[in-house]
Amino acid sequence: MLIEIYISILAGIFFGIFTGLMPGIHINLVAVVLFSLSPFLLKHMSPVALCTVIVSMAVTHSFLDILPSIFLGAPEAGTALAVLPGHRLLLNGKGYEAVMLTIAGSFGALAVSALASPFLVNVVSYLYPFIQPLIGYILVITCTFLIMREKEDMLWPALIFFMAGCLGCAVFSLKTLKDPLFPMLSGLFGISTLIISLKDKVMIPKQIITQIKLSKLSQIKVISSSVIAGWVCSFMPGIGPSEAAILASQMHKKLSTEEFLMLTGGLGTTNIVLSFVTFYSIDKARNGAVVTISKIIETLTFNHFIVFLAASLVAGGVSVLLASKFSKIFSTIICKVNYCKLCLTIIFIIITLVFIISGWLGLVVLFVSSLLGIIPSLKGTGKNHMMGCLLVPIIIYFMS
Amino acid sequence: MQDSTLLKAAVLCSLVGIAVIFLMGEKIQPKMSSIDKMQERDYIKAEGIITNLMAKPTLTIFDLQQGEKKIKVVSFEAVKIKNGMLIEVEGTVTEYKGSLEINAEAIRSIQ
Repeated sequence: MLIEIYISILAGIFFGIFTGLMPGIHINLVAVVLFSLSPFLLKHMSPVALCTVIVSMAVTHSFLDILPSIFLGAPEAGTALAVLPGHRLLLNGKGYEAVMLTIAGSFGALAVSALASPFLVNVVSYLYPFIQPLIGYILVITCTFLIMREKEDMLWPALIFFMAGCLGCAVFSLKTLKDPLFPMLSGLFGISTLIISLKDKVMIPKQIITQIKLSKLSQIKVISSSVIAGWVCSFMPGIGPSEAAILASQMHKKLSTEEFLMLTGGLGTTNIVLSFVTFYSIDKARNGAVVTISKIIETLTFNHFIVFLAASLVAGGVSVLLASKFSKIFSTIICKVNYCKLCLTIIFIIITLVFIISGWLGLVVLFVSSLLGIIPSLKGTGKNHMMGCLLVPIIIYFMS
Repeated sequence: MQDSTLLKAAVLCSLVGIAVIFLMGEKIQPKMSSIDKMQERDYIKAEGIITNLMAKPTLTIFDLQQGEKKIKVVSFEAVKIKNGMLIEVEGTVTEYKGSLEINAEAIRSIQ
């Protein structure tokens, strides 16, 4: 059994490297594929081992997905906010430092989350019954706050949020569309960013390997707020790492680019790890990997919980080394690659994957989402408002 | 193309696109499916006869019979149906404990 778990962790890390580094390949997609293969896989491995693969994959993915976000401008929803500060550092030749800041945030948050998990299990199971009837109102207040904090111009953030909300409602009404999130989020956060990079004829300068220069106090401050905010988004539906990043940044007067990157990294990993806490304490799955795990193991026991936490720590430790290695490789080759051709290749890959997974309907959704996705960049406003595509349908669900 | 022109085009085309997607949601209907061709995560329509009906206030479970084949149908609400009725079910095919079943969103009597 122990050897089976170790092999599962290694297999999960391997899959996580693939999903993390390939833009457009979301961990939910691979988790769904693994679940469809589960009748065959479960003849050769235990359910716990299969779930350990998914856990390790999810954690490794959360560490490595920042690389395509920063170096290729192809983020997912969770890393969308990191793209702008990350790109800023990349264009100053500090792409490696940008990656290592998020990795440090991820690992710090992973360690703190793992330590805090046993305590948080009791807190969540006590608090959730009080919060559940108020979720719709909490989300409305959160969305209003996120729009109103754009003091200089609230009109465009509100319009973008509204349009994204309409898009989300329209997409979810397409009942025959398979995996609606994939084309929608790929268009909003992936292809739109690549289109802007092509339009602006971005040229990546030579990269230099620089180390993190943040003080220990800053790091502790940022990692703590990422764990708190990440914990909230692990049991609140609709609030993902991007919204949590905005909310967490409000806990501080002003965050530097470096601190914000570390915060974003911490949030992505905390969300994964503390989702197990949510599943264990209140039997709610808040991300794709945990949904798949809930179908394989219907009831999570304390032993399963501990195994998954341990797998997360091992995968996280290995991922730090992998991220450092891959980041140095990316830093070396990125300025030698024709960035325009690279963007076009990635766009082509995403279009192909959307067609394979979601068909013609998916391509229509991808096209409309991409058009909507370029609007925040053209207006210079935050991409987080596009999370209205998920928040509005969820608010309608909880309020109805 | 200037940014302002691109912005206007993006806003206009997005609005038109969202409207088109809403219309498609109304117009596109799921295909009629036979039990042997159903795959997990398909959204389908299927006709058949109700057998082994179990009805509770918030849960209705029955087998949908098509010839010799049958599939379990689950609805999380009370439905006015009885054994032997010919019905049309619309919903998503899911897997539960190794078997396919339909999570019904709509059940309509054909008789």
